[in-house]
Amino acid sequence: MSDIQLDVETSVRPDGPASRTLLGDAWYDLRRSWIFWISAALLVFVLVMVVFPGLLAPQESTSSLTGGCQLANSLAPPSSQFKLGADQQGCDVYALSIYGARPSVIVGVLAAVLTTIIGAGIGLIAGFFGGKVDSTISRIIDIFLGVPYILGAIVLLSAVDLPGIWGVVLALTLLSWPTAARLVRGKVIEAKGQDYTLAARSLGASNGRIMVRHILPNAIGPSIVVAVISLGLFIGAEATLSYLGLGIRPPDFSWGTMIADAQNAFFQAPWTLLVPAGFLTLTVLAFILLGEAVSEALDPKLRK
Amino acid sequence: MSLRKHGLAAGGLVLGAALALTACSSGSSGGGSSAGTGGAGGTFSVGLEKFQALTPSNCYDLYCAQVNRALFTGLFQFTTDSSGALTPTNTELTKSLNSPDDGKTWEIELNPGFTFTNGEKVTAQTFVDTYNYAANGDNGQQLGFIFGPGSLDVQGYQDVADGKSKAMSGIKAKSEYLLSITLNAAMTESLFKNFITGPQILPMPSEAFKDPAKYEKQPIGNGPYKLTGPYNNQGLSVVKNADYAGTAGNADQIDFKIYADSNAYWADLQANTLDVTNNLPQNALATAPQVLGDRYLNTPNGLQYSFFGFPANDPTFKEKDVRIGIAKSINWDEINQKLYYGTRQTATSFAPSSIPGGGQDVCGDKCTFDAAKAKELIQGAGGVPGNTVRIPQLSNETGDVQKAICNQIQTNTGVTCTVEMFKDFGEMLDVTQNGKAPNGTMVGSGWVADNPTIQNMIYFFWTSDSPGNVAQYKNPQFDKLLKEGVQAKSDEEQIAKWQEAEKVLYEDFPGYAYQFRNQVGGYSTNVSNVSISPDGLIDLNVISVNS
Repeated sequence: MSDIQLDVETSVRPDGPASRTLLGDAWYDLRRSWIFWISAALLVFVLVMVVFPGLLAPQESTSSLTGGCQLANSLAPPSSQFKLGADQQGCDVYALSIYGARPSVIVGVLAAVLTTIIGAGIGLIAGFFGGKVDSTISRIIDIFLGVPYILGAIVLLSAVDLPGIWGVVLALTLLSWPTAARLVRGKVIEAKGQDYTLAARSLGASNGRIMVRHILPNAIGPSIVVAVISLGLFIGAEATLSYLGLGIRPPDFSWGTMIADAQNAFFQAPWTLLVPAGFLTLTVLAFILLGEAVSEALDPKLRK
Repeated sequence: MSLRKHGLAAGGLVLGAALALTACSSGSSGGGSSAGTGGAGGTFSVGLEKFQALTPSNCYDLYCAQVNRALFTGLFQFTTDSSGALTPTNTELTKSLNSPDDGKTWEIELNPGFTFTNGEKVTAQTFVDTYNYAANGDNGQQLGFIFGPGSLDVQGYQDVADGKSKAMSGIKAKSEYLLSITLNAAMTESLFKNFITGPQILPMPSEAFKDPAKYEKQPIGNGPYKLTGPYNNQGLSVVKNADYAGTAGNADQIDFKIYADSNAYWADLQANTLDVTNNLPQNALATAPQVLGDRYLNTPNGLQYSFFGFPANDPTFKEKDVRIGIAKSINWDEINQKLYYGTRQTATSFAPSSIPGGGQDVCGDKCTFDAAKAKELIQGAGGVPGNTVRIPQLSNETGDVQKAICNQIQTNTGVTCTVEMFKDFGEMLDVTQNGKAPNGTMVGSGWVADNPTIQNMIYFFWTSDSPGNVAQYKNPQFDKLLKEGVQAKSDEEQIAKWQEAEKVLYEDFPGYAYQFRNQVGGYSTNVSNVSISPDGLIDLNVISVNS
């Protein structure tokens, strides 16, 4: 029996599920949330785009080496050949949008995972040990939080010549871990004073064991929620940086580079902008909705 | 002349924003012949971008040249003849030009009556002082080079440029209105006039040499208009010069507005709050013909081309058939139509038809798009080593064209094509000349001519000892023909020599011009009789404000 079960036992409702773990409980709630199902459906679609884009569009139409992107088709309106029109270079906008999902989503996932791991680790250490360790880490966090987000990323990417996915992931992680760290730190301080922690300590558990087995599971919930929401925001940030020419660079492409390329032709061919922007918006929205649903399910106080 | 000067002109694949980098070819076309349709009077505005300087000896871009057309009257100006070619002709200030000794000494007789707006008379001495000031190395004036070797080559220039002497021994005022210029070597009349007209050093009053900094703030000219006050970064206004001895301009006042970029003045032009511009941003090209109707200006054969070169030190391009194959795989007509909306023309030589002797199909079959033949040529030559070519892109370019070029090379030849970024033309020179570029890197840039001669179009990138020889092309026969053209005794012989040099260049095929740039602009409903000359300048005098 772990402390989690003890902790949530009080909130189990009479008609609740047989399983009594925190996650099981959350899942019970999630299943009843329509927001969750909408975001889940969107995310399945995004997942297919990322993992099996070939199911949705032929890769040949995204490269001139394989017969796609003929300038003669420049700005062709939507038709049977180009379901969502062609861009200025004559590339199929639909196919580009499908294949452009991968770099965008990979950046989002990597940045969210790294941010959460680094942030949670540092927050856990700061909150658990307190004192000088906490003050030092907290001041460092304050410094990082003082850096304007997009401006910081622009400066960093201009200074470091690291084009492609990794530069963007580095910049986003470096600027985002403090938020996660501060969140976890607060939760850890809260959990540190709880009875189950004191009980574990009086039973002779080591610092490491208390941190990993008792405190972390109780403090990680909110940062998972934040991670899911920020995943969407990271995808948006990648688009912003690629739009500014600092992220993904030709011949690679992402939704951000597609939006950047579309600005000249917007009035003649609105689909060149609207399609990748639509894919981007829906994906970001899906993650934010999922984050909201998960946050409601994980936080007993928000339960109706 | 230094590379720094021409680094400005060599602005890279000339794209939308690159007009800011143009060297000026001052002067205008169609001057007195066209009469205004509307009445005289009124005020109109002209959109510009930031220029380097208004002081005539320091003005080497299109924007200051445009302002100075209103403020000054020089000795010659470029006009378009019946065949569409630009030729330098006398302004109202110049009575005659002749050479008593077959081209070594030139005597220019001025018409009396022209004064600066401070009352000082414009005489032969005015030009002697202006030219000596410009040539003096200590004064650091950008246009001093026009008296040097490679251009006019005036007697005594070197001593003045080095600061050893104050006056060029070759330039003298023989009488109040007779200016005499003696060169080191004889040249034809048309070449002399081309060298002195583009870029042109307009006359400056003696006040300018006493306090150059003050003069730059509010230049005093001898032209149809005068400044209302010192200029600033927002712009400047000029009003009619009541004492002007030549033909007066139509409008009473011209406001020059200085914009940060061409997008801003496109917005103002559409809103009818800006009246005239000789530059439209890339993203306006598609819609401008519909939005402006017959107020859209699109003058072909501008004095600007873009070219590609294949560096001689890169083994990738050793086979001539590989070079020709790459050239034949790019469909420029399609790119000019789809990306530039007809504001560029596919080049078949280095000189457009606005240049005497230009407009010939020198490249012929090599520049004709043919996908099948391109592939065949490349395969016949054993393919492209490494199977990759790299198209140069400068940091101020958007990359649309490079993308389209690469797509066409990939589609038509199967050779992988990527983009190689360069900060500017200087970096491209450094990287490719020192073999630091990855194999398969092509070079390229744009050129804005100083004057309408074939020689000016080709010497900078292709003569053996030129600092701008980015493709490291070396052919003594080509150098010799260009030089013989400069020394020719007649216009026919001169043009023939230069055309022959161009043929040699295309025969060797170290690179080729792929595109001529049109001069594109527009005007509001408030004005009429607006046109852009192939040299990029608008004749402001003939514009009339609608009542």
